[in-house]
Amino acid sequence: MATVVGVRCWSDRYAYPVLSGTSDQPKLVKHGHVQLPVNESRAAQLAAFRTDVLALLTKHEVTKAVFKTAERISKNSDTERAEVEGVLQEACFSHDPSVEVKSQVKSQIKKALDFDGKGGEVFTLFQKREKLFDGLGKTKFDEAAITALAGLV
Amino acid sequence: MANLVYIERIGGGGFGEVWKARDRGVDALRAVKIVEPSAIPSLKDFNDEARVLNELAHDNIITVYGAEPGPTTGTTPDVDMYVIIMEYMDDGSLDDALQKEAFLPLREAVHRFSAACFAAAHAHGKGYIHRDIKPANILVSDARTKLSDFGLCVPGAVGGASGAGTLVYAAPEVADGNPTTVATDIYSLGVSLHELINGSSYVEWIGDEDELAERISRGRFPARDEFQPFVHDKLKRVLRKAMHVDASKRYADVDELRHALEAVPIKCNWTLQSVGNEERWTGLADGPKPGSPGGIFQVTVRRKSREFELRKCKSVPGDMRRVNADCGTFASLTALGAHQRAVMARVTETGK
Repeated sequence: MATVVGVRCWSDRYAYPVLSGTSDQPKLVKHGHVQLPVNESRAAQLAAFRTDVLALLTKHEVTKAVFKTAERISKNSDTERAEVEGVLQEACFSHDPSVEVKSQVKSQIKKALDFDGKGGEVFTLFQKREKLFDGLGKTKFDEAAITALAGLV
Repeated sequence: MANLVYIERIGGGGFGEVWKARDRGVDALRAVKIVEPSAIPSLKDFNDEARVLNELAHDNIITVYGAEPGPTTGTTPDVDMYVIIMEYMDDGSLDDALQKEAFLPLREAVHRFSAACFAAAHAHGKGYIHRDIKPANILVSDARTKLSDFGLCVPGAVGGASGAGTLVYAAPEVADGNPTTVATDIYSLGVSLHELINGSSYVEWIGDEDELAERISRGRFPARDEFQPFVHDKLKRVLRKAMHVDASKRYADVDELRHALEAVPIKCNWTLQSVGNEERWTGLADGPKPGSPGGIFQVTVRRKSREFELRKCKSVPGDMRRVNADCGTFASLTALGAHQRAVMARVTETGK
C-alpha cells in the first residue's frame, strides 16, 4: 500500500498532507502547515526544512513525494519557493533513492485525477472531498491535498 | 578495546564517571562513560544505552563508538569497569553555559533548543522516551548541539516506571507516580526552554523533594508567570503550553512544539550588563534579514528613582538617541516593572 506526501511550498512555509491507501479509498494520516524558522538565516531555514522532511519520510514510511510546483508559464518567478522545492527533492533522494519524487503542475494533476474541467479548477476537488480533508483549511491545504491525491493514482 | 588515554574527569553521577580521553588509534578526543559494575544490575542493562544510541544515530544525538567491559588501557583510571565510548563535545552542556551567564542569548537558546527537539522527535519516532531531558544533557560544540545521556531511555510509546530523571524537570504526572510518555518528555523540554531563556534561578529548588513533587503536580513549580522582561507573550504561550499541567493540553508531539517556537519572532537579543540599583540592558536588533546587523537598544532602569530610559541607534555605528515616548518616571516599582516588560517585550518581538 502506498503512502504519499503531497507538498505545496512557499518561500517561507510549506503545507503537507500524508495520505495512505488507494486513490479510491485514501486515508489522511497526518497533515501540517509549517512556517520555516523565522529567526534563522536562509541556509538554516532550508536545513531545518530538510530535517523536517527526513523526519516525515521516516516516521510515516512515505513511498512517494509529490509537490505542486509553480506553473511553467507563470510570469512571477519565485526563486525562494524553488529553493524549498529543490531541498525537498534532495532530501527525498538522500532518505531513500527508491522514494519516487514528482513535481506536478495543474494540467498533470488534472490528468491524473481524470478531472473534467479546466486545469485551474482542479483544486475545487478539495471542497468535494471534505470528509477526507476534514479540518484542513482550504487556502493552506487545497493544492497540497489535491496533489497528494493525484500522487496516489 | 579502544586505545584510550584518559585526560580528565568531566562529569559524574550515580552510574559512575565521564572522562575526556584520547583514542590513540585515530587520534581523536572521546567522552568515555565509565560505569562501576556495582552500579548496574547486568551487562545487558549497560549495553542497552549504547545500543539505543547506535540505533538512534542522528545529527543531533551524540554518536556512540563502542561499549565494552573490561580493564582499559591508558593512564587513569585503570581498574576493571564497563565503558561506553562516545563523541566528545568541546563546549560542555547548556547547563555549563548557564553557570557562566545568567541566561542564554534568546536566539541562541531557541536555536540550541530546536536542535534538542529534532533529537527528541527522532527518538520518539523510533519508539523511545528519553526521560531525562534537561540542559545538562544538551551538549554543544561550536554551532553543533546534541542530546546525550540515554541511560534512562526506555522503549515504548508509554515508558516504564516513573521516578526516572531529574525531579525539577519531571512532568506533574511523573511527580504523581505515573509512567513517562512522549508528553512527559515534552514537559521536560518546556522546563528546559524556560531555564535557557530565563536562567537557572527560575527553575531552582532548594529544599524538600516531597514538597517539590507536590508543587510540580499542582503546576506551581516552575512559576508560569515569572519571566525575564524581554520575553514577549508569543514566547510565553509556547512555554506555558509545553509545561501545561494537563498532559492532553500540551503539544501533541515535539515537532509541533518546535514548529510553534520557530514561528515566534525574535528581533532582538538582550544582555544584562549591570545589576544593583541600576540595570543596564543592551539589545542587538536584527537588520532586514534574520541575523544581519541592525540597530542597538539600551535600556536603563533605576529602581531607586523609579526611572526608565530607552535609547537606540538605528544602525551601527551611530549615535544613541533617547526615545522620549518610552522614557519616564513611575509612581511605584510595580508600574516601573510593568513598563519595562512592555517596552522590552515589544522590542524583542518587533525590533522597534
